[in-house]
Amino acid sequence: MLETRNVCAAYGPLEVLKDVSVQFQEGRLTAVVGPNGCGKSSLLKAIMGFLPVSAGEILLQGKSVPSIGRRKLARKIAYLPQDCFCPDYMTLGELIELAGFSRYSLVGGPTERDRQLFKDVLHTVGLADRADFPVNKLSGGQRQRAWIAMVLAQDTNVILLDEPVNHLDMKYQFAILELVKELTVNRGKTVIAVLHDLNLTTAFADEVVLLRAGSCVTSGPVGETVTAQNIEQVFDFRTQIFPHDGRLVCLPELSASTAVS
Amino acid sequence: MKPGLATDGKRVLRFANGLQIRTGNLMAGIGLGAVVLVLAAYSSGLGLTETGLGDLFRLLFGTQLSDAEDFALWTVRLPRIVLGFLIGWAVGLSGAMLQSIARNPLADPGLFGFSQGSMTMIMLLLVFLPAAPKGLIAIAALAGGLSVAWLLIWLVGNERSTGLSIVLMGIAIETVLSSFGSLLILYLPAETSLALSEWLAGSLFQANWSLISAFVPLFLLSIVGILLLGPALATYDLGTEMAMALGERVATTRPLILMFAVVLSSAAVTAVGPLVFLGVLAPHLAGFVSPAVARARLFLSGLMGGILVVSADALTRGLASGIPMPLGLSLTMIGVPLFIIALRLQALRKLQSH
Amino acid sequence: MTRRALFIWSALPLLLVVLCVHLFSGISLASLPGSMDAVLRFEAQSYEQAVLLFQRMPRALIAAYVGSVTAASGFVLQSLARNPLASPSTMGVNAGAALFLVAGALIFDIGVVFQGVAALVGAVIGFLSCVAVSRIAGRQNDPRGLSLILSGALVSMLFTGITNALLLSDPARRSDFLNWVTGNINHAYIDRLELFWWIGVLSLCTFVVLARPLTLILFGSEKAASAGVNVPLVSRLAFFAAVLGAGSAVAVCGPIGFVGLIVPHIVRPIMGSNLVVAIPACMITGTIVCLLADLFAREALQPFVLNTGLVMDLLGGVVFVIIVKRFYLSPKVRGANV
Repeated sequence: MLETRNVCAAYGPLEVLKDVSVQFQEGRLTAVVGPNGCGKSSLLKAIMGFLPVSAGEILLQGKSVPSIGRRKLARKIAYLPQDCFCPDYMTLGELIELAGFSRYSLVGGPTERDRQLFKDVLHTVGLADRADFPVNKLSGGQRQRAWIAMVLAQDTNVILLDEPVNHLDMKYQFAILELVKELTVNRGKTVIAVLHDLNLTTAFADEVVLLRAGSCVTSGPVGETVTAQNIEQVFDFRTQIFPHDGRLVCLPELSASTAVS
Repeated sequence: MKPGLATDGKRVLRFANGLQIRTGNLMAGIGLGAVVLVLAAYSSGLGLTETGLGDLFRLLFGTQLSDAEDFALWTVRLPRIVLGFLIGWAVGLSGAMLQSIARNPLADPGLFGFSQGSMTMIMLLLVFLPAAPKGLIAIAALAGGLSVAWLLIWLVGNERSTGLSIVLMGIAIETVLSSFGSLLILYLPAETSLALSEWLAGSLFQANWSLISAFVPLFLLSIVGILLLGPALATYDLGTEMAMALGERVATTRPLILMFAVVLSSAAVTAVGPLVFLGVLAPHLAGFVSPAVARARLFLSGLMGGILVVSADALTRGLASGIPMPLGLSLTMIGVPLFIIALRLQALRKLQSH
Repeated sequence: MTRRALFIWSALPLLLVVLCVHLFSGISLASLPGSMDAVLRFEAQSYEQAVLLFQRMPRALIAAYVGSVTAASGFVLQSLARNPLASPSTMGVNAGAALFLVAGALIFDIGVVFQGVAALVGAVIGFLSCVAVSRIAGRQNDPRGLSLILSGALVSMLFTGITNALLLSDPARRSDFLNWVTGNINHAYIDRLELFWWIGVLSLCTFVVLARPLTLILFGSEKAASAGVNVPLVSRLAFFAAVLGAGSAVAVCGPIGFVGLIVPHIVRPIMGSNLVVAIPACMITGTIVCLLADLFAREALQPFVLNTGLVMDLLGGVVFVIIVKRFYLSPKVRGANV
């Protein structure tokens, strides 16, 4: 299990995480939600050690994450940044092969097992026939699936995704999140994803962490946490939240002036 | 070692430990190697004395050459060709490495200020110790390059900084150092100043076998470096954070790679002076010949760098006019047209594939 | 607003003071009226007056020309390239002009007028090759026109290398040009200023005419186009004027690097990015900076006279480091980038 205990972090003088304590359940999809600049990405970066933690601890199965070496950590946690860049010369297959980097020996390459995994992963995301394409020539939706494939090919139990459905149209948003959800259900992966859309959160996430101005307002199962009161506290606007087809739907309330017209 | 298919379906040769070489890249490597040999053979026949490859073979079979032929071939031309290749290899390789670190296709040892650092140190040495032995010059060059690298890391900060900021800071340091260089050239006595600029212009005329023997261990070391660092550099291409997420120890390996690039470039600077653009041209042209990642990319870049310098040297000697043409100029004269042709060809290939 | 007012009220007096110090330092107070008289009548009756008239006045004029034209060009280039590091010296303009002038003088033995033409051609070619290199290499991840700066640095290095090599081919004339190549405000170059001053004036006029549309382009080319600006024409004209203006400054006294980089960074925090007010402010500040640099070069290591270009280069390099530190390494920017 991954957990943060009283984590504080700052970019120079700018405090981005204040006393954040969250437990991420194993085998569940946890959504990190909050307004812009509330420290969602910073939380993931702090877990990965990209952002130095000034106080508190981050534990993975009871072990302090910063004390785990980079290479070992890469076999336990995979991370997908918000914006990914791939050099023009790299094909999808080559990108996927890089994902196994932490498992290769110093002068070695992918083993038989690795290669089988890479093939499976490409099938899972539906890009098996695109393996010889340069990544930058794929379409937007395909490219995002390619990056998801790379994260999967890293073969870790914990996966951190920073806004995995940014810049995608609705169809691909659902496709990607269905894929991610399936990973937690069928393969028991622990996924932590930064999401913007409350309706996507309630549709796919099991757990939710609500952040505001660097502090964790509340966290827990979606059904208990996503309430009109909590959402107003975090986002500063009123919503109606009602169950529909077994999931919660969030409907922002219009301001009085718009509602009249 | 047995043939197989890579994840993207391309043919590879695979070793027992998983190391795999793309057949396409291997062929390209062999092809480029052949080009080097052909160029060397052609280049050995260029010059005032009528001699060339044929005489070299006759020498191997025991026939004596005349003193003039022996001198031209053995003391002038062959060392230039061999040293040219080694230097091209070193600069091409360090350019390819720095481009991954900076994540920018324009990075090269000059842009990072390494060449300028080496040059400044050598200039200071030549000013204060004009009779310094060759070995000391090499050490000075290395020290200059390394102090620039250290300064860069110190100014840019920790592992979390982006590659781009490193290259920008490199340009900044380069500017300060180069104005210091002009200061020296301008205010030194005319003779020293002339000697300095002559050296700055860059040329292979100092090539000799002892210099080459100093270069060979570096060449071998660089091959080991390619094997060890190749995949790590490919992860750098995805950004520092991605590299760390994939398990690359950026805090340790980045200084290591920078240092390796410094050693390569300062060795080249010691031998022939600065070669602008070579570090940019070589990896690009190599990429046009055969797209490659990781180790193969580094290897092909080095080979291409060697080819460029050997052919530039051939051009310098072939034109053989009164003006001593600096190597950097002939390099550009060869590299830029090749680059444009490669771009056109690539555009054509793209048109055909659609 | 207050800072702006302060600048407007203090810039001109400051310019006047610096100019007076530049002209009259070392000249005794008692002889001042006489020297003023000499200046007005353009006749020198004593050694001091001759120094003032035939050394310091020309130097001040050259400094004013180079400072104002280069600084304004730098501001325009930074606005158009959207990069705080853009300037004639970082975009291949200075190195190109220097190379062509030296090549023309040494290989083809051309006179002063054609040297100027060669410098202008070189400035344009240097800039164009910088653009070409960045076009070829510039790819998807190039925020804020950075590849232009990198290719500019590469092109400059190459051109400077070739210039140095060319100078080697003629050791006898090398020392004449060495001073010029490092950039030197020297009264000997006043005849060049007499030949080329109109180019700089033309490009300054172009900036002033185009100031409003250029400011609109700052907000994005599409926004400018929707406001009725012919974006390609305006930006091309402005680029051309900036390159030619900077090239003419190089033709006069060699590449005085980094005035074009530093001055816009002094002006922008005070006057904002509106070119209508920033261009005149750049001209005044550029003049002050060049006069001060020249004064420093002349007086700092008496009796030796330094090259103004070198003083500016060293100063500029340090400012370059500071700009990189501030714009690309501050925690806030880094947080946004990563």
